[in-house]
Amino acid sequence: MKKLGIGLVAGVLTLSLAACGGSGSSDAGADAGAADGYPEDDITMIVTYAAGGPTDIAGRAVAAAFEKELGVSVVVENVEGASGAVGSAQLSQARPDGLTIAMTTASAVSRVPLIEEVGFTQDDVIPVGTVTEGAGVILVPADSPYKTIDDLVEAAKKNPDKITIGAAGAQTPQAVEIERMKSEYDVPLQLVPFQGDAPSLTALLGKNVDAIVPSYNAAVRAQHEAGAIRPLAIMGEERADYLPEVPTLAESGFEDLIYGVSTFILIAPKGTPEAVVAKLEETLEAAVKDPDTYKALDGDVLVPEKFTGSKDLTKKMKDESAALKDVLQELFG
Amino acid sequence: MDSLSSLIDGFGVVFTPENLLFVFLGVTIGTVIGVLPGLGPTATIALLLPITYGISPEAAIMMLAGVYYGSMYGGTITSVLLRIPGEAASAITALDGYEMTKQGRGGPALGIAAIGSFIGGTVAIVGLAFVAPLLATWAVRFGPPEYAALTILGLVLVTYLGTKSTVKSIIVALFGLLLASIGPDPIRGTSRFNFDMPELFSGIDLVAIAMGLFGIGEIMYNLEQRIKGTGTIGKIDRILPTKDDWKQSRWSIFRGTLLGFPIGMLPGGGGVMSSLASYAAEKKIAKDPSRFGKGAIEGVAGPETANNASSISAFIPLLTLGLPSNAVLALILGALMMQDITPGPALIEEQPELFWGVIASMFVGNLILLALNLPFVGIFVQLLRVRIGIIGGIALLVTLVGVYTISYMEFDMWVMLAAGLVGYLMRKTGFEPAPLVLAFVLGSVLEVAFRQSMLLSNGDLSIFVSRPISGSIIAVVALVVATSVFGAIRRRRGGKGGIVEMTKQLAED
Repeated sequence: MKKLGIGLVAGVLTLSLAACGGSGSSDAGADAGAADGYPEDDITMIVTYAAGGPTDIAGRAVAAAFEKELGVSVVVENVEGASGAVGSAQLSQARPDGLTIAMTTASAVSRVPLIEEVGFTQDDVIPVGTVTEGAGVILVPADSPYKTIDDLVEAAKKNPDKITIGAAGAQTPQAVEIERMKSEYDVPLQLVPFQGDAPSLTALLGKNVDAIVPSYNAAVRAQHEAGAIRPLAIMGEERADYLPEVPTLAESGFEDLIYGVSTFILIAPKGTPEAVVAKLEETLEAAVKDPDTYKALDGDVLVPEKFTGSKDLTKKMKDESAALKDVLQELFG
Repeated sequence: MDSLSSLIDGFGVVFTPENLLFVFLGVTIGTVIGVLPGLGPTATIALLLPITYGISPEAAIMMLAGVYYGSMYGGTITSVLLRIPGEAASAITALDGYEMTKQGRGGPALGIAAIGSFIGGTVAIVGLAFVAPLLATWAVRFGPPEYAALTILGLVLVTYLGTKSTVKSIIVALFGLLLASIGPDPIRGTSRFNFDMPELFSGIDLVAIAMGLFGIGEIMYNLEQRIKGTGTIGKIDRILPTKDDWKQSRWSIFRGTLLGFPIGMLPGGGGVMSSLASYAAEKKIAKDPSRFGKGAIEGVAGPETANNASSISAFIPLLTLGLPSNAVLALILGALMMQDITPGPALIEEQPELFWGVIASMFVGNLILLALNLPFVGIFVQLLRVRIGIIGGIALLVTLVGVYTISYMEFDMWVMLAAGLVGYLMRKTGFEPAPLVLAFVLGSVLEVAFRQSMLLSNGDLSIFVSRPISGSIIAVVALVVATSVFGAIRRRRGGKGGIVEMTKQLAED
């Protein structure tokens, strides 16, 4: 009941914000440089996925740390839809005063607008910083005949489109890398999209697919510790601290396949004063290291040791979308 | 995992002030709307959905489940005392229950219904606690072909068992399948059939559709129906049945449980079907079938037991496979999904508090209902004085606010209003909304599973019959279709037929 009350308030708040935005958007940003006093009011954090999901859990943990840091209320509002693009689009239209921010995924901002007409582009938002980074892990059942990534690749080449590999969705960063493996490296794996990491793990354990590419989440970790599954490769740029013996795809002969990483980021609308972005950045950096938040974020696995701030994250996302633009349009356009 | 110790943990979950409150609220609301003609459990749960968004998933499901089985108790009261079925599953009880009231035996009729409901409910809870974990362990091996076969079976049974015309059920179900295809392509992730409206990118919201079809539609329909005044209520001297009553009905209660439990799990089954089937069975077994309709206590005990047992067992397919068996469970699925919980074989392990807590809450809820129903029948009957116009107005406002707060989209309010209008027109023209909602839910599952199967087999359709489990399910589908065709032919020729045919006939009368 409590949450519903907040929800109602947030709803009203959004309405009034939207109303302000209509009339006063021209002078937005005029008060640039005035980060002193920020935040002068409560903050609305749009979470671009459903309540209760991983993005929501991360968003609420960050919101709690922001409240502690900034001394104002941070009201979480779930605006789901179109793989996170609906909420991101709404953020891009919000008044750029730092009082409306959003928790979303990097792909909702950098990839979805390349595929779909969602009413905003990557340039309409400012990435504030990285919250978590979950590299995909190529996994097989423990009793699978494939002991290494090379085994799997060889099998796929021998039996084109017969070796099945489950992903959390066709547009997930991990699935796109599998498709690129096929188109750029001639490894004809058969991608089978599922509706999230959990069903794909069930399918692997039930022997319905040969391999899967989730992040190293709690459920995967439990199965790994129980000895039910075997990791073959990491889909990020570097090896993971939590699986140091597992090679990356890049070092296994797929140099370009470094984007199979699910990244949660914080964004603000374009035009948000630099000083405010800097303040948000600083707050976020402190937030992900706050012990409670770190724990809620599953920090040992997902929070990168080195914080990525606004500038670096923007560049990273630009590089990624430049590299993937053609592939994405070919696959989904 | 040991079911018994988990169940004890489940009681730990229930016995917190907050959860107990929601169980109590659920069963009380259930009883109340069971009494009120017009508002059934489906409509009520549809209207309550947005509220559950703000509470913990455990409390939400405990409350909604309580509304469901609580309404099975409440519906009996007006059926027996006034011949006005409070909700559809108790309609058949009115035949003999009201006769008993006229003979001055309304009290024992209510008593035996409450006792039967309690027994049926409790046995079903025990069944749920033991069957569900087994089924879940088994279902872990289910892959896309099995899910595709199961949803096909579900869709076939939903239309076959639908209590109204099969043709109309098919039309409605097909419409539901069409609606399900709007929005994201579940395999490619791109959006389709969205008319370039951003609001449709992620598809139509189940909650908005359900609240419209069931909630608003039902309210509009009922506003039109002038329900006859409260009338005089037969005097109730004693509630407890006599020894003879008990002797006469104990086997009916036993059979009602045995029938209700599996029917609840069937797609398209649920309360109405189970009470009708139990009535049909009792009549067929009785030494003197002519007593039925003239105050036979078996005609009250059996159906009331069966509908309660079915309202519990209906949770099994949802909590183990993620497949709802009837419209109420489709809404409960909606409540879970709003909290980003997708039920499936892993639910019991991943959300033990939710699973065992809900089961334990059903024990508690049934006890509360037994205590609530017997002494307070008179008070509940007074509820009939509330005018539907008042309830309707409040409900409409609450639903509009509610549906908006789920994703803050004005669009959802329009979807709900449109669905409400459609629901109203459907009811007026004899179409049932339930197959639409079920097809809407099952349709998305079917599409995903079917297309994944095609990817797994590289386009070879034989994958559905070559795997043992999905092959068996497809065989059952074929059997059901064949039976339904033969049944229709036989009925056209005026034959008497088995219990299924009798049930369908009862439903049509």
